[in-house]
Amino acid sequence: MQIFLKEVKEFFRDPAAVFMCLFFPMLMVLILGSFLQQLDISDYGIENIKLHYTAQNSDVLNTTAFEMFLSEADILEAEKSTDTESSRRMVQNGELTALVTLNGSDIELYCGDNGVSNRALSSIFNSYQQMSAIYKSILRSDPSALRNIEFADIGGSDTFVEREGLGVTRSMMDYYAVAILVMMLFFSSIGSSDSVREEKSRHTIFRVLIAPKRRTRVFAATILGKLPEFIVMIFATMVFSAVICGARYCDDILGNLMLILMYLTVSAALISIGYLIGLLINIPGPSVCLPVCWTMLFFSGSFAKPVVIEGLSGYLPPYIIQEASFSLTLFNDYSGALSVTLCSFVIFAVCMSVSALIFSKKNFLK
Amino acid sequence: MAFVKVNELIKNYGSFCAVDGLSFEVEEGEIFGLLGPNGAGKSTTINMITTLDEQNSGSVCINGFDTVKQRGEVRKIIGTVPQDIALYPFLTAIENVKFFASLYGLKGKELEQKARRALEFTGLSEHADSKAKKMSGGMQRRLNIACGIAHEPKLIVMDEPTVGVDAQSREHILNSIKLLRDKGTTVLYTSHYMHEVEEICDRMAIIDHGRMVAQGTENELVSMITDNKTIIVTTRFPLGFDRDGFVETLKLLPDVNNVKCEDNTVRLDVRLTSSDFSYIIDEIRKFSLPLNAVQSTVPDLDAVFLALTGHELR
Repeated sequence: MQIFLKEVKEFFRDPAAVFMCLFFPMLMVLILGSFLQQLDISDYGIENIKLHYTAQNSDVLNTTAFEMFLSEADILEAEKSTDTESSRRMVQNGELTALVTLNGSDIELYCGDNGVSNRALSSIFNSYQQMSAIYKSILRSDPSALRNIEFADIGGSDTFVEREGLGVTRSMMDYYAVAILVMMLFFSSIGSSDSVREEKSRHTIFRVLIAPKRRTRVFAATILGKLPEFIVMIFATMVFSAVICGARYCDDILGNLMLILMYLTVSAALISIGYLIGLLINIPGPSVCLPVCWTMLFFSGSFAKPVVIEGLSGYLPPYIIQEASFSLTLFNDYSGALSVTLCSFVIFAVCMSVSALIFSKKNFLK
Repeated sequence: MAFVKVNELIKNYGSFCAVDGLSFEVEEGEIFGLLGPNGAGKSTTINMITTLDEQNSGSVCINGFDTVKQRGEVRKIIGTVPQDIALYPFLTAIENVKFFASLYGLKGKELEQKARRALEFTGLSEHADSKAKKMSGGMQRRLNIACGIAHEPKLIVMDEPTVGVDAQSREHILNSIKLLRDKGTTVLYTSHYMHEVEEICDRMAIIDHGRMVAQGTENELVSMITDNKTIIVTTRFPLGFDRDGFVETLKLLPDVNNVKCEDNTVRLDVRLTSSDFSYIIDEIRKFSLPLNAVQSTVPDLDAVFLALTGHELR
């Protein structure tokens, strides 16, 4: 208990440690939060997308349905192309967003340079094709079903259904808050890899070792004494990102408690790994742990999503923890979080036992 | 029975022999000085005595407990004041003392009382709530001592506890150590400052290359390099004074080994065992010589140390 309390006191009185564990994550959340809030307010309104369309090898039903869809879509300004070559040139000159060709039941897009509009068009026409496929399927099996549709129910001003409980508004901040937390857990735990060296350089370890206490107990208390700082870091970052930057985690208390428990066991596992590394190597732990952590986080998409590598990233611990977090916060799915918590606890127990064994036998004078 | 018994201690690091068959004993309630040049094996010996390290052969017993076989028992009765300041910088003085004392099972009021007493003993009561990192070097040294003695160990091992402190702090520390001894605590003390060892140690050992070179009281060590002390008499010889006759007369006195006359100074080498040399003064007076000054000198520990361990740099 004395060692545990000493560790806690030391942390809260060390300005550098408090900054690293408490204010640095908040700062990251604040900076990224305001940046992402700006990103969420798009300066490009996806509306009035001008396009020309033409139909080839398409029957009347298909063409009529397609034209009806184009006329109903508010954000599209569609005109039938009279000269496809001329329309292509207009797309190239930026006068049109796209030339859409209905070829049989396929839709071909000839797009310009506007990536945002292009993505929007792709989504719109993908949806259209899916809906068409459904209607065609119904037509083939039971055409009479279509006749019973009350056309008054279709169209109008209601373009989508919004119902309480279904329409949780998510922002980029929700993803980045989790990514930052995972990143901070990894980086903060690096410090523990140097705890042994720090105690040795301050010579306090020798005083502790010659006291009539079992070394395994000394070791366990030291590791457990590091956990409160992680609890504070996790809690402060979550509250701060939620209150100041509007990040959303789970919608219920139980989910958030599960999230905190998962992060805490992950912290414990990381601390014990850091401590084990610190005991095994005689060079500063961070010089080994930092590049490894950074690389794992980089390829887990914590810094940027595009660097995720299929077949590799999915096996990296930060990626798995992030995925479990998202499953819990977005879909209320506890399975990933429970698995991560359990695995982390096993890693913690194993590393702790091995480290305690090494700690009890190690000659720190060397 | 000796409180600390070091017997034929050997410690090897690979092919290097750091301690080579060292033996000595420390009686209960005495301050025992362990001296030696850098690399002599002092710290290695201390590490084995304090259970931080294990010897290759030989044994160390503290109050009858073997430091290897009964490590737990030994640890309960020893306290250490390491050469390096071993404190937690962000904890206050009282928190540091309480933390280290609590490792020895002290709790509650007893812990508080003993921690306060240790701070008082080292003159730090007024700085109990100051953080260790904010303290001066001398205060940190004293706090270092307080942390080693708060649990009131029977044996305190002090490894150069006064390195880098000012004269006032040093005096306070040395007085404190003597007080500890007076209370019955056994102290094993190492230092490079010979006058400190002369001042506080009851007995001492000089080790070099891991071996015992000499041990005993200060006088016993001095007597190892010389059995003389020198009496220097400053006078004024009148013109035509028979110096040769004077010298020959003095040489005939008991315990006087040699006499030299230089200008107005007479140097007499007298056997170390004789403490009363008034008969020499009386004899000089018979020659009607004025006695301007009389001085007695013995070789100091520095001279003994250098004579026994050599002058080459380590």
